[in-house]
Amino acid sequence: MSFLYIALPVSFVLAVLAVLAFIHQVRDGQYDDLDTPPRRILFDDVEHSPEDAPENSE
Amino acid sequence: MATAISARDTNTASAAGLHRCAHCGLPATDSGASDNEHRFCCNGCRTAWELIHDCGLDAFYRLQDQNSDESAWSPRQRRDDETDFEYLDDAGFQEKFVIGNGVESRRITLALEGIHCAACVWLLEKLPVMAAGVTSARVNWSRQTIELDWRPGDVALSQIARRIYDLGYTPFPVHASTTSRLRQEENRRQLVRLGVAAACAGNNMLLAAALYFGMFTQMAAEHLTLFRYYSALIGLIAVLGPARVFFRGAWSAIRTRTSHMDLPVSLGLALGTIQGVYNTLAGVGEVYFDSLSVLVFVLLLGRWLQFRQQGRAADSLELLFRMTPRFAKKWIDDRWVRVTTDQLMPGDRVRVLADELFPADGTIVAGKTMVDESLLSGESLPSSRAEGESVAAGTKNLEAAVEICVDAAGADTRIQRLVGLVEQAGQQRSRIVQWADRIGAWFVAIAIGLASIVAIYWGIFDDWSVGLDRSIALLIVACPCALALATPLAVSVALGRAARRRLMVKDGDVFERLAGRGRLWLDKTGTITEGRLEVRNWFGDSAWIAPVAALEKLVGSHPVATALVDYAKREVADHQLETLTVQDFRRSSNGVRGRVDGHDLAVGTIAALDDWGFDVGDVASSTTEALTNDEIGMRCYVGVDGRVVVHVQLADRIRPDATPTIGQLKRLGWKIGILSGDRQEVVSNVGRELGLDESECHGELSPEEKVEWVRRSSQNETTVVVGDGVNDSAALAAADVGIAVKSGAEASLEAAPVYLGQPGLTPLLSLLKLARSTRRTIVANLTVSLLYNVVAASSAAVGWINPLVAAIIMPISSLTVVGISLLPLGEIDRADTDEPNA
Repeated sequence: MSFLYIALPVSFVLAVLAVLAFIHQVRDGQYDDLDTPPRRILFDDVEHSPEDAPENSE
Repeated sequence: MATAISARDTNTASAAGLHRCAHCGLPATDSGASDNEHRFCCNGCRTAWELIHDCGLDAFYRLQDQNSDESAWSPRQRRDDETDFEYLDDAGFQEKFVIGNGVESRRITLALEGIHCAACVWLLEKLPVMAAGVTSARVNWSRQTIELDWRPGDVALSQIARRIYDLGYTPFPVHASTTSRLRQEENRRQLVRLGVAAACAGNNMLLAAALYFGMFTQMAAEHLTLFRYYSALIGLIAVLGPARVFFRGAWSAIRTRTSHMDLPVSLGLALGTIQGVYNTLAGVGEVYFDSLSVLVFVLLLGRWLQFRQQGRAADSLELLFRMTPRFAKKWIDDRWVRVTTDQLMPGDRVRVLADELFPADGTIVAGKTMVDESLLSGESLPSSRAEGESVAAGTKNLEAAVEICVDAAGADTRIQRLVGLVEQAGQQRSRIVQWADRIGAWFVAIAIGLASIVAIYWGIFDDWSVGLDRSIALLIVACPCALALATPLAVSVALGRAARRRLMVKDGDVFERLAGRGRLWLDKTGTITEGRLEVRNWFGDSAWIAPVAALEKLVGSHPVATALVDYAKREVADHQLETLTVQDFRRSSNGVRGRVDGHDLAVGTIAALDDWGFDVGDVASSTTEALTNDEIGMRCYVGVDGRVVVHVQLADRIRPDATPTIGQLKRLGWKIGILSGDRQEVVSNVGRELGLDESECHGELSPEEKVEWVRRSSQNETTVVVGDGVNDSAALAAADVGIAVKSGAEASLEAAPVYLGQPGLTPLLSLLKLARSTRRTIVANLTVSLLYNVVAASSAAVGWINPLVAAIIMPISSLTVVGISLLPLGEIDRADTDEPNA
C-alpha cells in the first residue's frame, strides 16, 4: 500500500489544480450571468444563408 | 395587445386575404411600406426585416416562432429624439462610458429596450455579422444589456447603435453603477470561498469514507495515520481559508460588543479544529475534519443563495434608473443643446416638452403645465405646476413645454434616492440565514455531546471499541446539512420564484407571516382602483362622443384625453371615429379646441371654456347637484359653437381583477377591509361593489388614524397592509407585513418589505399562495431532516448501523431536502407559475 504515499499527494495536486481552475473561471466572470446562457443554447449552429427566407420554414 | 404571430399564422392570414407584417406580425397596410412578397406595418419594421434578411439571418423568425409563448412582440413607437446617436462618438462621452481607448478594441455596455425572448438574444449576438468592425456582442438577459467589443478604426459606435436601433431595440448607455460592481465583486468572492469549501468538503468526505472503511479491512496503522493527517490538512484549509469570513465576523462582533451569529459558529469551528488537531497529533480519538469541512460548505452555501436572491431583486430595481430620460435639452451659450442626463448639474436650465419626462428634480422658471406624478406619489390625477413650483425627475410633463432650473440631478434626485433606499434595505441580513447559522452551531455541539455520551455509555457497559464505533456512526449520520438548509433553501427558492413574477421580497421572514391567515387592509386609490381616469357619466347629447374623441386623440397621453378616447372606442363604431378630421387644433393649459365636422368644438374645464368665450351658465349649475353624492374624480365640459352642451364626469375605475381576487383572498381565510383617506361615501361605494361589509370600509382617515387601525388589529392577528401613497407609508411600517404596490411612493417602498412590481391585486394572491407553499416546503424539509436525524442517530447509538452504512446514507437526507425545496408543492396553479406577460 506504499503507493498511497505517491497517490495522495498527486490527488491533492489535482484537486488544487481543479480549485485554481474554478477560481480562474469565477474571476473571469463566467459565473456572473447565469440567466442568458440557457437562452443561448443550441442557437449557434443554425445555418444562415440569404435564401433562407421565413416562408421556406416549415 | 400585440401577440407573437408565427410564420405559419402569417401564411394562413395572407391566404385569407389579411396581410400581416413580415417582421412583427401585426396587420400590415397596403400602402408604401410593402414590397412584392412581403408586407409591413411600418417603415421601421421594413428596415429591420431588410437588415435581417440581407445578412441571411432569417432564422430569427423561426426562433421567434419557437419561443412565441414567452414573447410579447410589441412594435416600438419611434421617436425622433431617440434616433440621434452622434453623441456616442463624442470623446468626452467615450471617456466616461467606454473601456479602452485604442483603435484596435474598445468595449461598452449598452442597455437595450425590447429584449423579450431567446430569439432576441440570438439576433443581437449576431451583430458581428451585421456590422463589420464589431468583434463580439454578449447579451445579459436579466439585466437587459449588451456588451460590445468593436474596432473604432472600422466602425463608429453611433453606426453600431443605429444598427441595433434598426433591429427594433433602443440602445442607451449605462454607467456601471458602483453598487452593481461591488455586488459583482462580492458575488465572485463568495463563489471562490464556496468553491474552495466544496472541494475541501468533498475530498474530506471521501477520506472519511476511506477511514471508516479501513476499520473493517484492518487498515495498517501507518496508512491510518497518513489519512488522518491528510484529512487534517484539508480540514485546516477549509477552516483557515473560506471559513475565515466567520472568524472575521465574530471578531468584529467581539470588538463592537454586539451579539452576532458568527460567534457561536466560530466557537464551534475553533473547538472542533483544536480538538481535531490534538487528536491527529496524539493519534487518538476522532478527527472531526470531515464534519467541519461540510459544515463550512453548507453555511457558505446558505449565505450565497441568500445573496444571489437579493442580487436579483436589486437587478430588477435598476429598472427604476431607466424611468428617468436619457437626454435633456440644456441651455448652453444661447441655444438649446441635447446632452445626456448625467451631464446635468444643479443650476442648469433645461427645457422639457409636453409628453416628456423630467430629467432631473427642478423648479419651473418659465411656463405652466400639468404633471403626472403617479410614479412618486401614487396620485392618479395630474396636478398643475406653475413658475416657482418644483417638479421631480421621472414624472411626466403632460401639457406644455416648460423650462426648469435643475435643483438635483443624477444620484441626488428623489427617484435615485429611492433606489438607494431599497438597495440598502435589501442588504440587511435576513433572519433566516442567521437561523441556519444558529442551527448549524447547535447541531455540531449536540452531535459531539451525544457522541461522547454514547462512547462513554457503551465503554462502561460493554467495550470501549464498541462505544467508539457507535459514536463514530452517530457523528457521521448526524447531518447538519439537511437541517441547516431546510429553511434557507426553501426561502431562497421562493424568493426566486417571487422575483420572476416581479414580486420583490426584501425579507424572507415575510413568507412565514403571510402563510397563515389574518387581517388584510387595502388602500383604495391605486390599489383597488386603477389609479387612472375613466368616463363614468356623459350628461348630454351622445352624438358628440365621436367628435370629442377625434379632438382628444391629438392631445396624446393626458389622462383625461385617454379616458375620453377609450370611452368613445367603447360607445361608438370604429369607422365613425376614423372619418372625422380636425382642423385648427389649439391647446391651452386646461383645454383643447378645434374644428370638427364643421363645428367649433372645445373640451376643457369651465374656466378654459369661459376664456374661449363659450356660454357656460346653465350646464354648470344644472348637473352639478346630481353628482355630489357620487364618486367624482374630475369633471370636464364640452362646448359646441359657443355653448356648453355636455358635462362629462370622470372617475378612477375599480380594477377588473379586484372583485374575484378579494373573493379568493376571503376563501384563503383573510379578513379584508379598506382604509382610505377618501370620503366615506366613496369608500363605502367601492366596498359594496367588492362585496365587503360596510363596517370593514373606513374612509376619511388621516395617516395617523390608519396607523391606529393597523395597531389595533395587529394586537390580535397578523396584519397586512397593502398600499401605495405617501399617506400609507406609516401604516405599511406599522403592519406585520407591509406590501407596496406598483407605482407607489418612495416612502411606501422604504417602509414595506414587499413590493409588487405588477399592477393589480392578482400578484398579491400569488404572493400569499407562494407563502403557503413555502411554509409547506419548510415544514416538509424540517420534518424529513429531523426524522432522519432522530432515527439515524438513535440507530447508530444502539449499534444498528455501522459507520460505513452511515457514510452512505448521510448525503441522502441532504438530497431529499434539496429535492423537496425545488418541487413546487400544490396550490401554485399553472397560470401562476408562468412568467408574467405584462
